[in-house]
Amino acid sequence: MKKNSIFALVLGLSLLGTSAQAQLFKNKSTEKETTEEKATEETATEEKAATKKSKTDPKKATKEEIKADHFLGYDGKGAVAINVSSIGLGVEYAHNFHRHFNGRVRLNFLTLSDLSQELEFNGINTLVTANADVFNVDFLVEYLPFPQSNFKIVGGLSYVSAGKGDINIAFVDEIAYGDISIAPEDVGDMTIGIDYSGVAPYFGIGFGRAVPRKAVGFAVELGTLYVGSPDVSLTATNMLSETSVEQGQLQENFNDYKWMPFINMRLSFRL
Amino acid sequence: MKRTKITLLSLLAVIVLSCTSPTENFNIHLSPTFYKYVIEVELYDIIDPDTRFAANTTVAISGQDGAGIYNIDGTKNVELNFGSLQLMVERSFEPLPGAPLKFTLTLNANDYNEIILPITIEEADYFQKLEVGMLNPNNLPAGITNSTKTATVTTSGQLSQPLVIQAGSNDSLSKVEMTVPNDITFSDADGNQVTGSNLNVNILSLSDTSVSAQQALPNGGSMVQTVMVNGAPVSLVLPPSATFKVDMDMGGTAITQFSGQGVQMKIDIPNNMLNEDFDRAYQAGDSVTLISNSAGDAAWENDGTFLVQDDGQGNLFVDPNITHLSFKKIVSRNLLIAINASQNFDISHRLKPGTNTSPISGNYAFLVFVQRGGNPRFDFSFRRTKTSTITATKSALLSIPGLAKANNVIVIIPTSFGTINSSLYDITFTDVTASGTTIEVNPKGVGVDVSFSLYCAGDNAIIDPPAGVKMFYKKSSDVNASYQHLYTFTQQNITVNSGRVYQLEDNTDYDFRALFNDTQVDTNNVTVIDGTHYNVTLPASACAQLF
Repeated sequence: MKKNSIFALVLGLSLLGTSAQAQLFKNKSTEKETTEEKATEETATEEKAATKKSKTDPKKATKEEIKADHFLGYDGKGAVAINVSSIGLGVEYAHNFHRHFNGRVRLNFLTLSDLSQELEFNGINTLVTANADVFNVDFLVEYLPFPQSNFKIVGGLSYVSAGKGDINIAFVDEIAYGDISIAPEDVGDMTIGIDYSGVAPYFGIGFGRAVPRKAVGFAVELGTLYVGSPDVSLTATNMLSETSVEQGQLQENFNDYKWMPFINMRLSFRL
Repeated sequence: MKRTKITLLSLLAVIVLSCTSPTENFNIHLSPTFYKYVIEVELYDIIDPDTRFAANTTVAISGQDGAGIYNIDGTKNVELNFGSLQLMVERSFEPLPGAPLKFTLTLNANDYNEIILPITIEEADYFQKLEVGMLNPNNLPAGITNSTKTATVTTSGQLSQPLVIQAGSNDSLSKVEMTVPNDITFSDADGNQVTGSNLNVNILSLSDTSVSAQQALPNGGSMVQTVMVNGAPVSLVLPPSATFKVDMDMGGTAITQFSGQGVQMKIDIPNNMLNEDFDRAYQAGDSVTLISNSAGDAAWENDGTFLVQDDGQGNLFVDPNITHLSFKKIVSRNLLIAINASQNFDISHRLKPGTNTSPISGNYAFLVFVQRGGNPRFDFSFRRTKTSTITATKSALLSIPGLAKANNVIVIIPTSFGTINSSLYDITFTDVTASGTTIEVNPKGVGVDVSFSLYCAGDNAIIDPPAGVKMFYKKSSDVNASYQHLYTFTQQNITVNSGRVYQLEDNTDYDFRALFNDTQVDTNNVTVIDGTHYNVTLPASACAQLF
């Protein structure tokens, strides 16, 4: 119940922004404080027990000791990972520097070239071709509030070096005008381009430690980037060429699309 | 907890749903530019030019580029609609610089003489309007006469005796007498000898001053005709002289050629007819050139130079022998030589004081009045140019070669073609010099600034009207008034959806009519208000044709 409540809370926060976040935090602070107090107490108890049992270097801890205190398995260690996310593929290095915190540097890239699909709009067959060129570098901090759990909260900054995508929509079939056939290339096509760039704050939640307890770890993450309004371009050719005057309207419509959702699956290898 | 969860989820849903749809207020703009060139041929009865031509008319398209000519609806079913033909050029046949498109229209209307109309379209000549006068030989207007005579033919295909036929319009001093000898044979267009029992000869006489007569000239009826000079086609304003069209047939087969010396024509040179070479009346010993135009030819040919003779009684004539039948016309000898001394006329469009002076550009047809000094009979001639596309900017030049005389003043009055109507503009002439004349065009009315957009609701698309759509208007209060031409959309202006319309008055109700091919759309009682944008939602059927 508590975990579900927190999940809903954090998801809502990621969409509302800072001011809403403050408001909701205020509403939920009492419950969270109670939960955190309990977790802290448990952690302190475990630490005390581990210290009592052994004063051995954590890197040389025994299996039983690691079993008693999970943290000993990855304390101060690093890991490399590969990511598959909604904005492409990525590689990552993570390092543990505290029982509750891991630091992460992640590279994501996505390149699509002439990815085509035939679609029908209002009975008209069109060929939709997409291109994308995305590259961003994320500097993240991962917070694991519960040592016994691999639930995490991730925050940080992403530098979007390239965040471009475009879609070209063209007619597929010839159009008949009386006895004359109008070739698709004479009808023309439209290309809509979207360009995000710059520094974007990132916030996410998930399961799976950045530095796994064992040699290999798996993680999932759900978050969002605040990328700001994109630059939108619109070009059109031949019979559709005058549609390019709608670029301003399109830009206005896309001004609301400032948040880029992020879903990530991660396979990590502890070093 | 539950209430909080629901509130959060609801808030999330509201946030997601409140994002603007990417396509909100986004319209596709469709401009039907899959064809650029439009040719409009408006037919009229020469004897009743203001009534819409309604005779059943068949149209044949031929010529080197005829295959690329379609009815404006994209089919090969070329039909007369509302008195006009609207033709389009398929993209692959569009003319290129230096390579004009050429084709021939053959028009046959019940009770009317056949018209063979060669058409040439130059590159960027996107809209051409031709007004073609149709002549009913059984109902001829003043200034045109028909003379017919029949002679018996022997078994050898020759006349039993010479045939003499006289012709000439009643209002013309220029008469003709043709003598067909009995020692020649007759051939068709392929050179095959034609035989029969009777030879029918018909001479159509067009007077030298009648407007109707000039409208019956070939190639759309205009005094501006193309003449072959030194092997090259040259556009000339023909002089005021009688024109004759000779037709013969034997047993229903058209005669076009003769053997031997051919047929002799004695053509009168009226007293005081101006010899442009010397700027005086013709005298015996002068020379004239005979030009001829055969059916379907775009240009007149030079049939030779002939001596002006005196019959001993003070009557002047020339007596050329003709070897083929066609339109025949006398022109001055030097008219053809003087073509290098072309005269350009600056069309300066100046709007009324207080308005902007941006140029009026568009497609115009012009009535060309030629005023000639020194000859009281021919000091005024009405001529009308072929209504070809002319883009008149502030300093456009309209070149009419062949008129080198300084005392000729060309008066150019825009007709109702395109965006200018002569009844709406005051025409004044300034700076009349040997090198040119400036014509000042000032709109009579104040006009209104209006704009429009055509919308297909179901497809969320804004449409440009296709080239060839014609707009007409009349005041709603004038119940019996006829529609006047307002505007024609062409390749050059289909993207222009705003401007000052001088034909309309502010805060006045109008009935509008749009014509395209066989479609007529009337919109009545529209209040025109200066500065208003009119959103016109097209019917679903029209949009369905486009999408």
